Amino acid sequence: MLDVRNFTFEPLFSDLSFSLQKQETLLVRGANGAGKSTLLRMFAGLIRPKANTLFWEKKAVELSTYQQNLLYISHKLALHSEALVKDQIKLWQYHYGVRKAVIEEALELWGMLPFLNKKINYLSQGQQKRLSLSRLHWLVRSLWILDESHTNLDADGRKILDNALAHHLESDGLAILASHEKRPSTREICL
Amino acid sequence: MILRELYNAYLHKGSLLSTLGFFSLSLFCTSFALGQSEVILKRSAPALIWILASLTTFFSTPHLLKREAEGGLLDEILLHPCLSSTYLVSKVIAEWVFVALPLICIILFFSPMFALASHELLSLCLTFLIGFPALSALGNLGSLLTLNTQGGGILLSLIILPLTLPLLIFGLSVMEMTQLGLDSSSSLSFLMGVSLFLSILGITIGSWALPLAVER
Repeated sequence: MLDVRNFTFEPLFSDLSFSLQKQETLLVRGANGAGKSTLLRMFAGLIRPKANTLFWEKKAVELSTYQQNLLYISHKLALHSEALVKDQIKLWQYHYGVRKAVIEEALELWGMLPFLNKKINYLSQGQQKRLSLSRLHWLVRSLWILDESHTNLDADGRKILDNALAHHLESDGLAILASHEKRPSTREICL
Repeated sequence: MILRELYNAYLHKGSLLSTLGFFSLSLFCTSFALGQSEVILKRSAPALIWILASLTTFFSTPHLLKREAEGGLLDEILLHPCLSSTYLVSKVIAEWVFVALPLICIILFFSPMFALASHELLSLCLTFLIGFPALSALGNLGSLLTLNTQGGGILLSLIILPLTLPLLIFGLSVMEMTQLGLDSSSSLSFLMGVSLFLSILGITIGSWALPLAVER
């Protein structure tokens, strides 16, 4: 469970409070420059929130412990642009200690397995997004923080993402999404 | 984390090659500029090689970190349970392997042009290998401090270059002792101490600067 109390980042937003339970999704919606990404970075602890404003499982967060529960994917996709897709897999293996087969399984699901020998720089924006979002399938974390995750994805990609989200929520996960667009039957904060 | 950084550095072999190319060309031109007098060559070579190697290191090492920041990879580092300092230490180790060792090979290759005796050459390589971690740590620190600024390269030189002077002074003092046939162990110890101190300084301040650099 995630509790946010009086989050403030002047002049973008102030005194923002909410509680997010298991199986719930929160949509942060707003125009360009409204502060969606900033808010999401605060949720992820990448912009340090003030003391006693962020609570995880009813305890004030200790960032390094709390961050092991979350998966944060921003509009910067955290990919090594110079690398081949297979090199990226190797780097993920070293970084997260995940088995190659598990990552490749996720890449197959996202339709990225045929591009193992392609340089990430040369992939389209949508393909790079798919590669980055494949983390949703091989990195097990209870809180997903996804910034503009649907942008650049085609209908097929959006469907895979929505299925992953639905499965994550069914498994008692929590999700915070940032988007310009409305999502049906989803709690939202409008900035 | 060390494996990740080693592999990451290996992946950027293209920019590494251009760095090595720059260093080779600089050495080549310098040897011609110094003329044919063996005395002048012997006298000035250590200082010139040290300065060129330091500058090459200094302007090449922060490059990788900047690229990582642009791609959002520093977020991934901060969300990792490892400490920021572990990341910076891994980076220094990777750069020692992929930048310092090739620079040494180039120095060895061009050494006949500078008329250096084998014991002088050994001493030069040793001082550079000892001083390199500090150069790399300070380069990465400078890169983190100037990550969000325009014209960061110039600012980086102004902030960090003066800090590298003790390395140059003690490194060249070792060389001078060797050339005079004196015992250089005390200067070498000083160099090791200074290198260790500057490496710790760079990594400590760098691990503090890393979260601030990505707080945008």
